[in-house]
Amino acid sequence: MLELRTPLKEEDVEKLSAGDVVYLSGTIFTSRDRTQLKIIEMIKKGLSLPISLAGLVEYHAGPVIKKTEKGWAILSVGPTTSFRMEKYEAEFIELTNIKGIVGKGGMGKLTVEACKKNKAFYGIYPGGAGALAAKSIKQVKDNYFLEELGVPEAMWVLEVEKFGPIVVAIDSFGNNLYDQIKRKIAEENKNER
Amino acid sequence: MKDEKLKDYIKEAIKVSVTSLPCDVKSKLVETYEKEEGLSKVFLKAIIENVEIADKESRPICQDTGTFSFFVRRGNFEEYKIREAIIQALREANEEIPLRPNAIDFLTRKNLGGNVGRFLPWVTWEYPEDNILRITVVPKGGGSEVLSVTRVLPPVSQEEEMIKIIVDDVFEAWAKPCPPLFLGIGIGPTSEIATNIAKRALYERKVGERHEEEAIAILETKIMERANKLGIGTHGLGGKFSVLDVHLDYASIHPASLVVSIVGSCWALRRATLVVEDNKRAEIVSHNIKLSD
Repeated sequence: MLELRTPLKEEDVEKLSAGDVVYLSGTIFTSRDRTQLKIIEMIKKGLSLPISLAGLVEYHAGPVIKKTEKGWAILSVGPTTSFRMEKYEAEFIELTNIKGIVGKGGMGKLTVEACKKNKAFYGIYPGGAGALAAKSIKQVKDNYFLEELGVPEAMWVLEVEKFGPIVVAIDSFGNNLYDQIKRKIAEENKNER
Repeated sequence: MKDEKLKDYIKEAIKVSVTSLPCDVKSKLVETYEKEEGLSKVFLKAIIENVEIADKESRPICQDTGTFSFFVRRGNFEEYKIREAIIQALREANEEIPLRPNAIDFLTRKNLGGNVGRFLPWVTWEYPEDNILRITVVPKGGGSEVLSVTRVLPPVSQEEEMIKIIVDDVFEAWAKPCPPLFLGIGIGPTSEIATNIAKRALYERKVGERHEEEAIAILETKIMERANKLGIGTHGLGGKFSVLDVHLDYASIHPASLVVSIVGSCWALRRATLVVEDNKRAEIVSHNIKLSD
């Protein structure tokens, strides 16, 4: 079991191999479908982002929130299916210089390549475990694009403590855990026959 | 019974459906955790911990509080009154639990800010001949829909062809629909009938309960065994359990078509069934919760 704190450096990411279990602390931000497109569009237009995303970890998630007297409270925030973001993820990594992504369900070849090239990783968190994830949030630091994109797709900036278990599914060396597992199962089934 | 009371009962059932798993689903997860190994076991442990936190603190189990469907046997209540109560309960639940606003307008893609929209919530009516009102609340997460498939086969198709479609579908989806899964399979003459049957089989029967006809019960077990040989495990991390249960049911088919519909649920098979007998009892039977007057 490994523990990491954001912002991450290249050498932090290089410690990770596909199949490792990691717990994250520090600042992370939620981003998915239209959030990613919005951020990519802003950078391409030369507009400055509300915060620097370099070294941070992107969380594919859209929370359940409650507004309290003290500000926003997140009650549940498990991951969403990452594969929907496959088309834009490589460009997103490239443009923002994030060092990690957390989601669920796995990602494809384009993301594997981008993680290798930019020294980043993709990890999976148990899908549906939204209440557990919410317990690791120490503070909702801010939110952006809420009015325009709505609650699930707004960018929520969170301070987390020991957010996990996260399993490294794509490391910075070109390994994809799901491909490895599928190959192993195919191998075993072949031997059975 | 006052309309207000009915709305409050339904609101409670909505809350229970998103914050607590039914007893049978919870026991199945614990049983699976005990038998599973490796990284899948690590994730199952987190999942069970999550279910306990959600239950204790009344937090949504999953941040995707789903799209709401209601299966209603209306007893001696009037349909429009039940519909009104459901919509009002959903609006209030949206703020009070709270729920995630998941209704998006198709044309503008604007978030409507709640869970009521065009044709939503979806209500299926049934008319049994008794005076008992029975409402099953089903919040269905978006991710678990990745698995949904409807296939029209020639009516001469044999069992193996159907099993292959189902097993290939589960394999293809891999980790996306949040396995280990629960499957509802419907067979019928049209896509609409087959899908309705699949949904009902998934949500009305208890986990572990086999079909009353032996031939179908055997088929269910066969599908489950074949799917578990895929080795997908929890969230695709590899393991012995990819599918936790299969509920299959059928309607008579047509000379030219045999439709197979697959409806999947993630490990969090969320449902809550409210039973109301006027002036006698109100109970969420899926969770053994008695509601007071």
